[in-house]
Amino acid sequence: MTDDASRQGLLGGAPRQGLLGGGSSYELAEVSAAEHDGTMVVTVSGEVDISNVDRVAEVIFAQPNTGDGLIVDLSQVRYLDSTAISLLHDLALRLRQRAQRLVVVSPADSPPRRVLELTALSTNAPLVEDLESALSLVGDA
Amino acid sequence: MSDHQEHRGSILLVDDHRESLAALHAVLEPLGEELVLAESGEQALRALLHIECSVILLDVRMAGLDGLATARIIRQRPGTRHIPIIFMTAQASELDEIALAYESGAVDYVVKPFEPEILRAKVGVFVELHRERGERVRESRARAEAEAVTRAIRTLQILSDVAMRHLELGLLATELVDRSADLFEADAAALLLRDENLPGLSVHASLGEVPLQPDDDHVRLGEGVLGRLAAEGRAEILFADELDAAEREAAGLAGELASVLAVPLLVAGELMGLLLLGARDDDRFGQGDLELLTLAAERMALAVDHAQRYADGRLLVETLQRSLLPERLPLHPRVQVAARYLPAGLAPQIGGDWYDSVELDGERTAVMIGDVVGHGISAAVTMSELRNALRAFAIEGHSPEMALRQLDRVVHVTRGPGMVATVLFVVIDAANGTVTLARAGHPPPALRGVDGSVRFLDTARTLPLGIDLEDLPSEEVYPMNPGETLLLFTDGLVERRGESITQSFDRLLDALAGAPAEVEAICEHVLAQTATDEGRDDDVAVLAVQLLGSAVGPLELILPARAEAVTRARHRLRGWLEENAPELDPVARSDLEVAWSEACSNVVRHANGPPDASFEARATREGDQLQLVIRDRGRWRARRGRSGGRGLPLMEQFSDELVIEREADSTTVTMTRSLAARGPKAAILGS
Repeated sequence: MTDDASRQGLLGGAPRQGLLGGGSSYELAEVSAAEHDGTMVVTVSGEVDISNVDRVAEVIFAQPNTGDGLIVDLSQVRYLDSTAISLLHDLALRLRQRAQRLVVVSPADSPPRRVLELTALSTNAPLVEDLESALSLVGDA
Repeated sequence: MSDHQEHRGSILLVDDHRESLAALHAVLEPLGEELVLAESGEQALRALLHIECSVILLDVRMAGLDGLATARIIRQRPGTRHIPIIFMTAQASELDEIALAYESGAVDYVVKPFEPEILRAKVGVFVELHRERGERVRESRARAEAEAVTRAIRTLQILSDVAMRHLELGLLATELVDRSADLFEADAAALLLRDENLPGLSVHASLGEVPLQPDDDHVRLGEGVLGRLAAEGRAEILFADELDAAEREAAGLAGELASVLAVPLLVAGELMGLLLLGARDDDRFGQGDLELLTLAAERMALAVDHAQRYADGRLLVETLQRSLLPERLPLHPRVQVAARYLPAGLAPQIGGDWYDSVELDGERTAVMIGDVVGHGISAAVTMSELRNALRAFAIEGHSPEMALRQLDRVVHVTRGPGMVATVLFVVIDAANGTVTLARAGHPPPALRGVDGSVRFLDTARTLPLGIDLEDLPSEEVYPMNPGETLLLFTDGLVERRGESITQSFDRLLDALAGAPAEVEAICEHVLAQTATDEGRDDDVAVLAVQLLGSAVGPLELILPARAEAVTRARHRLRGWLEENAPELDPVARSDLEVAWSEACSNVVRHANGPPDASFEARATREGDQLQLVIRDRGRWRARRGRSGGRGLPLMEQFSDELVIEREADSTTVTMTRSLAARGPKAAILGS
């Protein structure tokens, strides 16, 4: 993807950065994005459930979809529910349609890992232990 | 049965062991139906080209094309996809094999050696169904013509009912979905509309399993089957088996639905939305339905357009206001805080009411509420400044009295005379059981005791900020016991035309006394009892703070059916488990949080009842058994009770036993889990 469309967010809108919500309020989850060697890494921390999954999705989908794929780092996530799992599946499928891939970072002993495994996320996106593995996986593609 | 001869079908028996086929033949012969035998998947598929079949018995493990693959092919072919398949297997199978079997189209599953009587009865049921279905088709053809004309007229009348013109957008959407699902006998329906702040279309109302991916309520224009139909303004009937896997998923046909009727809503060629009706079978909708719904869609689009234009002005204001108030309040384990804001009921305008809460340390929580006199942008900007300043003073550790003095100075220095604002600042100390408060011209908070008694605290007169630098607010300390609730509010809640202030305050106390136990539910209840949309010319903020006592004993919550309540329910369970099941390992703890939250999410997701619908969540421990019960209490429709997506399998996995009881007006989910060590439920759920 090197055409003009590549600078658009995954949803087609302008790329956007940032934390959730209006700064000073208490947040259930925080989402930040940074580029590592040309790959976008979205880091989520806290808890994601039905009450904030839309806003997490908004930030993720607003990231520019350049490069070979997207890494979503869930190492700092304490709680993840089925709506968030659906978001990840959806994201993986959408990226695949563009010949890009989604790699999800979730260490073996972290709470979301069981939920991710039980809902077979790995059928749509590889699940790795740490960011380094994720980066090398995206690089290999 | 002889007069229904034409609807008879053969029973197809597929097994690669001849002895098994012979045994099956012997068991099923008494049914008196024609039995066709096949020794492989390939043979079975060939046989299906020539026979009309009422049911297939299919061995799972066969050489060559196995049972699962054979079933998939049968399901893909238009002529055979209706035929029920009963899988047979030789040994007690793995859970995931059974899951795979159902996924590839099994209606039932039997383990060899089978009980002849039971197998015969099962097969008999499908033979009978096949016969009835044939009869239905014949009869309905005869009736259809006469009914078509009447139906068209009735449909158009019902879907362009004048009464709906006055509904606001949300109610209108629900009404359109309900009515069209009824008229077209759909199993599921959804109305997707354009949203201001999102590209594409999103679900505004739905019924049954939304004909979209579970939990995805969004269609991007031009993307996927639905997105393309919407972009082109084209109506079509989509069949699950005519789409490839990705398209099927995108059109919501990956689940139980076999066909979807998709009709765009257009006004003067401009896309307003998309109406989807789904059916579990693929012959429910025909060309006639498509034409009729397209005709009705024109009228629905006009109604939606009208409601949307009306809503836009108000929406803008609400969005701006929300961006000035905290998105979320802290979830302190022992101090529960909930708040609500309602904009002025008449002309949409920005108000000056605000609230905030900050966790000061492990034991102390600060809660503030205020009102900047006036409306519009300047009031909103002042409100935002005051909120941020007071929050900063609170975090720095100022006492309520000192914080308000500082704030008063800020008002004098930056705003000059003429700017009037009221504030109430409260610090709750969970360790000492005290509430320290300072007020500047703001109504006093009300306290509800453990026994349900209600009264106002600190009723002395005080001046608003910005009036007199010499008249300084002073602070008062009151005891606050576990289980007690403090209610903070702005004067919009107690000012009503034609009512004295005493009457209004009494009405507020009554509302607080009669409210449920939990803070979210208290806010909802108090607003419902005191604030009416009609003629409310001021905005309203209300905030409830509650000191939790010891969590030992059952956890009983009544929560409003809104998304934030799920988070709160989970945090309350977290605290409850710490006290009531301290021996639980972290994995089990996290499992239970998931199971519990998913059950609550299901209630919230399917909530389509009255706006004040609520649900009950209860956790109890008996010996080493934990029981979690979630019950909705709204006026739900039976069809909405189904939980789609991945929530249900997680609830199943993370509890030892899951029971769902559906009644006419409520659904109860009961999950039990033993504290004793537990073997893994190893099956991987389908993606």
